[in-house]
Amino acid sequence: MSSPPGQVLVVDDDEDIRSMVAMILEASGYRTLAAGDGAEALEHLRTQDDVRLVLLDIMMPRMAAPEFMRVLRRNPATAHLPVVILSGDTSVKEHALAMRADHWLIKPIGVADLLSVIGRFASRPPAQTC
Amino acid sequence: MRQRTKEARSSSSRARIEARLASETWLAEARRLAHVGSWEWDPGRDAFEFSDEVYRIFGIDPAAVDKPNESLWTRLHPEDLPGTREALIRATAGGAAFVHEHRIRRPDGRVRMLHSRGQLIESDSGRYRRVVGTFWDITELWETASWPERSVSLLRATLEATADGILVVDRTGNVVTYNHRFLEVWRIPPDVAERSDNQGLIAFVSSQLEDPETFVRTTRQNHAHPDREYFLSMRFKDGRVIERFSRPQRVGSEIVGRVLTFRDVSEREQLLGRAQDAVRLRDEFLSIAAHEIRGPISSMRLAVQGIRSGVLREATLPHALEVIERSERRLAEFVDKLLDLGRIRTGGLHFDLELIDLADVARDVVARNQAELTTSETPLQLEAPTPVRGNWDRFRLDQVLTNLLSNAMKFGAGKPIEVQVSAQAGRACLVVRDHGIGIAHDVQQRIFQPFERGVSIRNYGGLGLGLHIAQTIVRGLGGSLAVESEPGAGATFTVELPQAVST
Repeated sequence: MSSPPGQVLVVDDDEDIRSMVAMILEASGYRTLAAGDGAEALEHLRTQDDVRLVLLDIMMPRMAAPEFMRVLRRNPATAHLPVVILSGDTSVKEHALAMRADHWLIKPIGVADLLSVIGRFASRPPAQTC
Repeated sequence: MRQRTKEARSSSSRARIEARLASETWLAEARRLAHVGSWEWDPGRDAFEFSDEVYRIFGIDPAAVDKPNESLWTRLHPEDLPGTREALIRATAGGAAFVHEHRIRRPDGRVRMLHSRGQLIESDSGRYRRVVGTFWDITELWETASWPERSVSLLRATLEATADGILVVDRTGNVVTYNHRFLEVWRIPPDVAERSDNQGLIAFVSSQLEDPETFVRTTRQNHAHPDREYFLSMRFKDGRVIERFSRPQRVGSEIVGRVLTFRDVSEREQLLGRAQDAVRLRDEFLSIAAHEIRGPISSMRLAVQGIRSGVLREATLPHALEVIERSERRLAEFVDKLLDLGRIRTGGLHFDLELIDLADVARDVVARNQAELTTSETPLQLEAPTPVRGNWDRFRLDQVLTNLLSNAMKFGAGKPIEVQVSAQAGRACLVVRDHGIGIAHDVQQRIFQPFERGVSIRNYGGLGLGLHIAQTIVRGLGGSLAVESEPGAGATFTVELPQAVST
């Protein structure tokens, strides 16, 4: 399998989810980066310029999803970066739309759902920067 | 001619008689219409004679009574008997006429008001001596005359009987009247109310409000538009909530002032607040419960599906199994917490006491969490140099330390955690210290309450039950659980337990 360009950034404070998602993505040919909260994720985005997709949990210590999304969308370099919300919250759709995320997956997630949504967003051409 | 004169005489005499009879009939009719009856009292025999109209005033059929032995006294209203008797006796002394108002009671129990007048009539010899007079039934007049007084009394009684504070002001805002509840609501001493004008009262009361500006402004508006009705909810500095209704007072079509009622709705507001809190806590609980359950299920599902589909290869299997095991444990702990809360609520937390070593328990708990500590790169130092034995419940103490350690890892920001077990003078001491985000002072006591958390739900999961359960267990074993913390500088939880528990 040829490796799609760029990396998937997995942001979740649950270490087990983070590692399982990353493991399945890596086994499927994607390259991944992991972060335990929004602040750590922003740090990765500052140093890595080939992130193509962010998988984002909502409830996280230090910096939760809404603050992270505000910073992300304000920065021209990341304003159009696709973000998929991963959450067990019952109103995940409302949260995702309010945060201007591109898609959402409700936990518990399965391998097929995960790979289908990743395929849809991570294989897009890199977002235009302005 | 003589005959004719005689006839004429007889005819004129008959005319006179007829005229007299007519006049007497007319007088009797007039008296009946005016409710006036005649009477005569013989003071010597204390005997009365009444005209038929008097009997009608008394509510008695004149034909059915033994007239010669009549007495006024039995007809009088008992309260008016002494005064009437005294006045009548005074009249027998001559001089001023007898003029008196008194009530009588009819056989059917109804009370009538009479205006009585009388005059002593005496023969020169003194052998005939009577007081002669009239009774005038003025009940209707009297009732009409006392109506304003009775209305005022009814108004006053109504004002005082209501649970609301009431204030009536005139068009210029001057106080017309108020009830005592009004003074209570605003904590106004009666002497202040007596000597203050409206401006003085407004100054006195507005200082008690959280938002005096709105109060003063709306009060001014009320006077600017006297025809309008107003409502204002006021929060007092002492926590009370009072609702003010204000509506115009009209006489005919003219607005003469304004009636304001003040209703204490603090209890209703408190109940409402508590109900809203309960609903908020329930929603939060459901949201967190969903999060706590869906997290581990996600990890398990990804691991199991990853293995089954062949996506995960051999090298990653041990980690996937570890994740499955840890997720299963997290779910079991979650259910245990809910069950424990249920047991605590019904007072049925059970202890199996046996001689155990607290240092041993600490080593077990630390070992169980080692993998997670390693992943999050959190150093942990366990200081348990000597066995600390006591008569405790092993499973429950394991739970206490598990909860404290899980908090230390969650809020410790990856900085070193210290766990110490020691004993002194028959008391065991277990300390769990982290150097993480710490706990704000105002929430340090609240965090031991069920469903309370020291942090925002946006950032951290957890049901908010761990510390509540830990404290309940420690107290059940006769010990105490205390916290010391500075925000940003970590937290230290200290468990103290008597080594010999007598339960």
